[in-house]
Formats: sequence, structure tokens, C-alpha cells
Amino acid sequence: MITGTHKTRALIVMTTLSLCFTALGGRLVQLHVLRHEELSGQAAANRGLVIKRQGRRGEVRDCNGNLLANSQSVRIVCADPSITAAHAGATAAKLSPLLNMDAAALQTRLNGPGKYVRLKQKVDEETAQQIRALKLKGVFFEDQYLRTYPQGSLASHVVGFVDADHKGVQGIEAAMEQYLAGVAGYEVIERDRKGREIRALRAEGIEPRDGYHVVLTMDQVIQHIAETELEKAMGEFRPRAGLIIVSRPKTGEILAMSNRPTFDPNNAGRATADARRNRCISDVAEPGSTFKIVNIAGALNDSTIRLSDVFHCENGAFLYGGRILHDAHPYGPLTVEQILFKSSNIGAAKIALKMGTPRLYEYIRRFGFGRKTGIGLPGEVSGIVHAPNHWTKLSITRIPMGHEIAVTPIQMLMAMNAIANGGKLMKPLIIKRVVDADGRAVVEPPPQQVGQPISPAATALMTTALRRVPMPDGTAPKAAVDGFDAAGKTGTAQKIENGQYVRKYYSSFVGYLPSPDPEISILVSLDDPSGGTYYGGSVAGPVFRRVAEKIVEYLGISPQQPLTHSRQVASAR
Amino acid sequence: MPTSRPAPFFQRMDWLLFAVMLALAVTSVCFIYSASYRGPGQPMPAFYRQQMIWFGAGLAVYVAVMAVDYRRICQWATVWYVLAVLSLVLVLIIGVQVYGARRWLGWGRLGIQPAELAKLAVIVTLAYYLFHRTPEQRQDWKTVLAPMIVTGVPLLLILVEPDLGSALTLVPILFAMLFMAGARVKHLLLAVLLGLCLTPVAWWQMKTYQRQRLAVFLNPNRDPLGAGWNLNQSLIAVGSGGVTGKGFLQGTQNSLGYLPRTVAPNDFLFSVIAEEKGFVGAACVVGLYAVLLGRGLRIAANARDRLGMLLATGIVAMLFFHVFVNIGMTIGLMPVTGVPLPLLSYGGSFALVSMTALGLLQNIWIHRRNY
Repeated sequence: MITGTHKTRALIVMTTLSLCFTALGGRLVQLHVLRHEELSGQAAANRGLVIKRQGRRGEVRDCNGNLLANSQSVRIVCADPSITAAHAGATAAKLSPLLNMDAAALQTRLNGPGKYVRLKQKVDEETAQQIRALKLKGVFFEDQYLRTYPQGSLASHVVGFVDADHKGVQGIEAAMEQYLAGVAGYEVIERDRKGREIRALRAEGIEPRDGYHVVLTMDQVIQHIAETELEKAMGEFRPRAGLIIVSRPKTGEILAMSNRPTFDPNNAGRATADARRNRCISDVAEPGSTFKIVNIAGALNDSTIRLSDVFHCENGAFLYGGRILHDAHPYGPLTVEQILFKSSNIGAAKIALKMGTPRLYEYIRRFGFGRKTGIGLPGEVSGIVHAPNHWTKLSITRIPMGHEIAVTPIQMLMAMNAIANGGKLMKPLIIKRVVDADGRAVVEPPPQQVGQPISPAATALMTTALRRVPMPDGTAPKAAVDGFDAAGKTGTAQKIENGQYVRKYYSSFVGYLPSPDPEISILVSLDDPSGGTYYGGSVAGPVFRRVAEKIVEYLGISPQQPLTHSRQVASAR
Repeated sequence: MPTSRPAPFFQRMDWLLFAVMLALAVTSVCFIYSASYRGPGQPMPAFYRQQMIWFGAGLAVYVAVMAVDYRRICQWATVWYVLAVLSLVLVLIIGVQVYGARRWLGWGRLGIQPAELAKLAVIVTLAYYLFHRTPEQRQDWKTVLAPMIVTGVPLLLILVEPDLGSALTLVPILFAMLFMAGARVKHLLLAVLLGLCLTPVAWWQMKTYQRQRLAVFLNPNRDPLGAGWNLNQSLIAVGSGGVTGKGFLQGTQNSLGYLPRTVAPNDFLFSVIAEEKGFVGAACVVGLYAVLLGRGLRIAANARDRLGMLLATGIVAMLFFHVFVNIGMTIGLMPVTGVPLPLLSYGGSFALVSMTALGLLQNIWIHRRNY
């Protein structure tokens, strides 16, 4: 049966089979070994999509836990055009009403190149659920957070706002960026052929860490009081701008910081730079008479003068250095105490002359002027304090009345706080603590004393004098706080425009109560009030009073004297 | 080893061949399981259990076929052939239509594909026919023509279904058997030439999807999301498996559906194995087939008569064609045609046919020359 031909043919068949199997084997080696990396890469590319996951940005709250800045979870609707292209028309038609977008434009994007396209950002969870229910192939979601400021413009200059990338650009948002931002993670999403995410096969990736929450020393209620009263003053005196700062003298904690003009951080882009500026720390101006506290406190501290020492106030016109220095009201002989509560420029100049340039400069620096307070908000400036070698002959008479020097409102308040606080200069404190997601404090800055410009004895003398400012014979009877002994100082600084003093004024009042053991201090400053009066005592003084009365009521600070009848009625309401 | 009385067939059978068959069947069930696995907690399709039932049935047929002398079986060749052709006609009339093709006879999962059975019928018929040709007749061109007609009828019927893969399987069977029957090479070449002349007609007759598949074979990146998808994803599956594979049930190409779930358990099961068990696993499978076919050739060479030799040749040709075309397809050596992998791919009919064919091989071996 088996012939020679047959054997040859059997051999041919066997050889054919062997060759074919060799081919299979060879090809397997090629694919499995030689092209392994290339094809593995394709397998990974097939299903892997690296998605950055932002940690939730931390909240900003006031000292009582009221939310000032929040991150709301929203979605970004994304699509994989390599999958959606096949039925872009139908998908676009379904998405269009939900996303409130033009169907044709959507279709173009669903048809585009690549594997990733963002269709719409800031889509709320409810809409996302509706889209998810459609089970559209190749459409998926990414997490996104939306920064919201539930209180709107309240304390907006302090809280600040974020840019489109969720990065803080002003205020606490910028200052505490490293704490608030958290750490972004990423995830590699495995997707099946239909573009659906396969959670079970979620592989490597790093979980994002949520940002820390920042708790401010600010009190929303006090802030609200300040905002309301400032708003009222804006309507009453029509100044170009205004600000109120409330703090605790003993600790330097800032309780409120209000600016006008203001802005809504939810819509920060629409506000002008002018409206967004935190004038309390960024604007410098000649402080005016409030600055008298510096040289008089210094002279008292050096015992150069006593409260009862009498200086002749030249009946309102003091010739010195070839120029005449005026008082608002002409006075004859005044005690130091009177000089302070009646705010005599001539008296203050004479005290300064008595203490001399080096001592005056020493006290200006000791009270913290000429350097940043370190409040920890971006945009703080140090003000302008010229060194004595740059002083003119007139400087020693002008600086005590708050001319030839530029300070920030926060510096002025901190200086006044030192007088209120036994001479201890405190660093302004705005961060109460930083807590992590579990509420554990990460940072808890304690109150910090940065200097002791004057002795407690000198502050007691100062307080004695300053308490008379809101009294009938002081410059600010309208600043008197019913039921409390308040101490303070008025300021009416002439504005300089183009190097010339013009008939425009900064009207301010800075004071504290209850004296002599104050709980709060308040600075009110109005830039260029119109409507006749511009004196600090009559413009800023009443604002101080209203703010103070509401705050003491809110804080439950017991009145030092019985309230007057009208006040009791208001209280009862 | 002359004996007065033949030893029982289980002593004479090729145990290695049997072992290889079992090994492939076990592998099949395991990887059909893996190919239909969709992840923890997901419902498990019953494909693998279904296949176990088919293998059980196949084993019964296997033993039955072994027990009856192949010469007896072949005497009924005409009957088998007529039955096969009738069933092919029947399937065109009352067959179950799946994806536009009528390939199935029967109900639901219990359906069989007459095309698969026809392969065996053609082998038996050809072997029987060629066995009865005298050495002179074998040189005659008519001896080439008649088998071509015998093969051609079922081939055309299968093409009409349409089932290109199964139809094409008959061609190597025909040529291998003619070749080993001693037909003149000149005649065979003429037949090949004739076939090539018919190719344009075939192209013209092809369904669009079949043309696409061929075009994709020539250029897999032609339409990577459409017709080229399966091939590309299969190549990625195989290549990403590497030397040792991603591990059982760990094949992402498969479990994530990139290798479509409709084809992973049957036509592309080899890709699943290659992805999850890597080169080692794939080479083992190819090796098992090499052993299987090698044993088949050995059986052909040691057949008692030309009938056995031709029968074995036809069976080896059929199995080889399936193995080579299927594996070749998954690794891009062959165009995509739905040719199942013997004993591995999910599917009852071909599992039965494969085991029957192997039973016949055992039968030929049991009755080999020395016995």
C-alpha cells in the first residue's frame, strides 16, 4: 500500500504542517515578546484615562462656625469623542436641553478628535443624575468644586475670592492658599469598550486630600453690624469710601473688617479693583489727629510731661519755623489732657517740641508705624514714616497732628489697642485656627505681643484723657456710648491731591470700651464725607457709637452706668 | 505483537491522543469561563457549563465511534453524505436565522450546525470513494473531478447560508485527501487554477461584511473601530499578555469587552488564553495541537488500509485547517473568518464533530496494521 510516492507525499504534508506551526509559533513570539510593550501600551490606552481629582477646598468660617466660603460639589460633563462620534447627533439632541447648550455645537464637540472633551462645567448634581440616567455611551463626569460665598459681600475683603482655577487671589483665600487648597490626586479610570467606567477595576491613583478649613477670629454678627452701620454712614455722609475695623484690644483679634465700596466675591470678576481693595490694610493716608495719641503717650511715658502740665495754645495760630500752625478752635492755655480731648494741634506740636525729634521718632516706630502689622492678609503695606534725617524743620510740629506721615487703618487701630491694653502692642490676629477635615486643629496661632511702646501707667493717663473725647467738652460728644465709658480719638485729616492739601478730609474715630478694661476697639474712617460736616467727631463719631452700642449688646457686655431711657427702650426691643 | 485474539480497544487506543483531547477540553471550559467572566459580583453566563455538557455528549459519541470498526462506518458513506446534504438543504429552509445567516437547525441552545456535520460526511465519503479507485483510476482526471463535485455540492450549500469559514474548510480536506490518494499533481494544480479563476466570482458573490474582513486582514488599521476592531483588539490582547500573561480572569481586553463578548468565548478564545496565560499558555495550546495533529499523521501512516489512511488524512486536514486559520486569525496571520478552534472554542456542533473525528482516528489506530 505504502509506495515511494506516497512516502514523499506524506513527507510533504508533514513538512507543510510543521511549517505552518512554526509560523504560528514565530508570530506568537513576535506578539508576546517583541511587541509586548507596544501592545501593552495600547491595551492600557484602551481603557485607562488619567483624571485629575481636586481635593475639596477648605471652608472659611467665622469664630462661631458660620460659613463664609464654601466649596460646593458640582460636575464637569465630559465625553470621549472616539466613542460618541458614532452617534453624536442623537447624543447631542439628548444633552442639549439638559445642558442648555446648542445641539449643533454639542454635536461638533462630540464628533471631534481625541478621547477627551469637556462639554460643560459647573453642572449641578441633579442635572448630572439626569444625564447619567440617559446612559449615553462615552459621556462621563468629573468632579469639580464651585466656590461659593454664602454671605455675599459680607467680609468679602477679608475672605477674598478665588480665580477660575480655584486658586485664592485675595484675602484669606490667597493668604491661606496652602492650607485651603488641599492636595490634588489623580485616578486612572478603567473603561470598558462602551466607555463606561469600571469601578471594580480601578487601579493605581492617589486620593486627593481635602483642604483644611480656616476659622477666622471674625464674628459674622459683629461684621454684619459694622457693614450695616458703614452702609448707613455711606448713605448719610456720602463719602468716597469708608471702613470700619473692630478688634479685641487684649488679643489683637480682628472681629470685623468692613470696606466700602465693596464687592460680592461670588462675582468678583465684575467688581472693580477699587471695590476689591481692602483699604484697612492697603491704603495709606495721613491719619490726622488720631495720631496725637502717639506723641502724647510717648511724652507721658518719658515723663516729659504730666497730664496736668499746661501749654499755651497761642489762640489758634502758632508761628513756628516761619509757618503758622492753626487749631480748629482757638485755645489759650490747655492742660495736656485738654490738648488731647480738645485735639489742639498747637498743643500737640509743643509737646513734641518738648520731647524732641529722636523721642518722637522712637515712639512712632514703637507703636508699629512704618512697618506691616503682619495681619497675614495679602496687600498689606507698611505706610510711610520718614527717618528723622529726612524731616524738615516743620516736621516735628506736623507729625504729631498726623501730617507728613502715612499709616494704614490697621496700624492706627493696633496703636490705639496698645494704649487700651496696658501698653502691649499686639499683632493683629485674623486666623483663629486651621482645622483638618476631622476638626483637629492644625494651626492655632496664639495672640502675639510685638512690643511695649509705653508703660501701663502711661496708658492709664492716656485713657483718662481719651475718655473725655466723647464727652460734651471733647471733640466727639456724638461718639459717647450710652452706659459705657468709651475712650477714643477723633481724626480729621486734610487730603492731599497732587501734592496740595485740598478741602477734602479723612474723618476718623478710633476708640475702645469699656474703659479702663476694654473688650473691643473700633476704628471708623470715612474718606471725603460730603454734606457740610467733615469733622471726625461729628462724622465718624456717631458711627463709632452706633457700632459700639450694638456690639456691646451682642456681646452682652454689662453697662458701666444705667442706660438712658431711650437706650433702654431700644434695648428692650 | 501477534495475538490470537485482539486486545480490548482501550488497550490498543492512543492514550496520548486521548490525553491531549481531554487537556484541550479542560482548557476550553476554564477559558470559556474566563471569557464570559465580567468581574466580581457580575452574573456568570452559563457558557462554560453548556460546553461541559457538549463535551460529555462528545465523549459518549467518541466512545461509540471507537467501538464500531471504521470500515463499517465508511460503508454507510453514501447515507451519511445524503443525510448531510439534506440537512444542509433543510437548514436553508427551516434554519434559525442568526445575524442574517441560516446556520442552525433545532431549538435554542440545542441547535446544531449541519455545516459542521457535513465536514465529517465529506471526509468519510471522499475516503470511501477514493479507497475504491484502482491505482490506474487514481491517475485519471475523473478521479479528481468526482470528489470535487462531491465536495462542491455541500460547499455551495454552506456558502449560501452563508458560512464562508466552514465552506472553505472543505477545500483543504479535498486537496489533502486527493493528494494522499495519489492524484496527479498536474490535475490538482489545474483544480487550484480553476479555483483561482472563480475567485473574482467569489468576491462578487461575497457579502459586504466578508469583503470588509478580507480588506481588514490586508490592512488592520483601515477601520479600527469597525471591521478592524476584533483583529486589532485581539492583537492587543495577545501582545499585552507578554511571556507569562496577566493571570486567569485578569485579562482586561477580555473582561472589559474590548475583545467583544460575542466572540471571545468562541472564535477568539485563543486570544483570551494568550492574554491571560501569555506566551507560555499560548505555546502550550499550539503544542497540544501539534501533538494532536502529529498523532493524527502517525495514525494515517500506520492505518491498516488506504481507507483508514485517507480517513485520517481528511480528519487531520480538517482539524489542521481549523487550528491554523483560527489561531492565525487571532494573531493576524489569517483573515477573520468564523472558524472555531477544535475542542477549545465554545460551540456544541463543532465540539461534537471534533470528538467524533478524534474517535475515528482512535478507531483507525485501534485497527492499525499490526493488529
